[in-house]
Amino acid sequence: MGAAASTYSLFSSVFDRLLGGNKEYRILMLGLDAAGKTTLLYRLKLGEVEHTVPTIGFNVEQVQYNNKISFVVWDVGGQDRLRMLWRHYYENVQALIFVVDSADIDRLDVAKSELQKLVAAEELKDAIILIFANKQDLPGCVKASEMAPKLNLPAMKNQWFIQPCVATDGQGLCEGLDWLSDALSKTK
Amino acid sequence: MTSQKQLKQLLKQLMNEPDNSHCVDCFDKRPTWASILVPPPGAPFTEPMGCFMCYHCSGAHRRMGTHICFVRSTNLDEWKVKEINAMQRGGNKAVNAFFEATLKDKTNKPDKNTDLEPRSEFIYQKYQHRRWYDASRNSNESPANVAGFDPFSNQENAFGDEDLFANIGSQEFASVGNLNDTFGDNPKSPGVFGDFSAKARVSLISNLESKEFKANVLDDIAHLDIGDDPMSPQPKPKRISMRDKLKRTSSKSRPKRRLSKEMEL
Repeated sequence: MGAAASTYSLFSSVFDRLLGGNKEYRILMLGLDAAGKTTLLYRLKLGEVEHTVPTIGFNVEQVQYNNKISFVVWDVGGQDRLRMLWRHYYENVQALIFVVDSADIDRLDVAKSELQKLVAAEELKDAIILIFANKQDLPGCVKASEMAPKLNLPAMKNQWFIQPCVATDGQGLCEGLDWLSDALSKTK
Repeated sequence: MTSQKQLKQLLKQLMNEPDNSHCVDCFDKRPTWASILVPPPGAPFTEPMGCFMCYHCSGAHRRMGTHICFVRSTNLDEWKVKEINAMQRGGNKAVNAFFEATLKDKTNKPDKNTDLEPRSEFIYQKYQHRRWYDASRNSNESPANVAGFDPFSNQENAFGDEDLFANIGSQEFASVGNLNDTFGDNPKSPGVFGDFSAKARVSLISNLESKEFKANVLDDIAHLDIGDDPMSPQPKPKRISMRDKLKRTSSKSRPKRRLSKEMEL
């Protein structure tokens, strides 16, 4: 019986790899207002930059990455009073993409406390966390290596990774998604 | 300690002033967003000053980065005392006195129907490239009425190509608008990334439409004084057509973004 079970799991994992496209992950993308979440989403989805306006509700898109993994990405508005709505999107989320405006130094503390609230949520305790240190092209931006301690990332229990990026021209996005796909495929 | 309620009250008073009753950029009625502008280098004012703008113009303001301005919603954000102070120092009249000082033909400005792309171009020109900025010509309220103060005497040289924006006049705005209408909704699939079928999209959204989900959220939004329904999906942003892209690349009026040579982790 044990042998049968392990044969089955081996078979199913091979099967999953062959037909990897079948695996669909639910990803929640959060961050302060004007961090670049919507721009990032449409850069991933369409490969081009949109003239975005502040998100009042949410955007949701399915993003097929490298023909092997499919993300359903939920991008939710980040204005102060919309953040209380974030919790309604936590359920069944496998990964969290947290976007930070690396040039908005005055609000890194706010970003840090919002992230801490997120990781404290029961529904997100197993979520994998990708942090995009966005807007690396702007003057005076904080480098990802400097941002990690400022956001208190080393103290986080969740599996995390910080990736510098420029959502408007796509730099760094693939590297971030590569890590995410890899980390997700290693989960059960 | 000033409470949030008191700050919002002050904000409301400012919004009710006649000068602030229209968007600072496109003159749309009753703007509910605000932009707090960082003093440009060499400006006679050293503290940030704010202006009120509409939802559609706020998108372009946000894109310029927080070294140019910081965007707040008058109803979806909590406000700080220093932000209210910035709005009191500024206001739409004072801000335009600085940033549109040399803009002779105001009919070139976008209006509420202008597409996002030409609208954004105007906003980048106005605040980021400061094409019409003149610190020596401003309203009486502003602190810059100092005799003999002319930090921008060689402004023309500084901004180079003078007719850069001259040929994006009202006709151009109109024609760009038409182009967008003709070519804007041409959803060419970008190939690399799969297309999300309309069916899948609808099914996802219908999950959100469930009574349970809405009921959970209603508690949260009941006291939010917002016009738009925060639980409905955002209208999809307009795709940029190839023709517009070419147009955009050829104009020199894109915001300057310094490409980092290397991105260190």
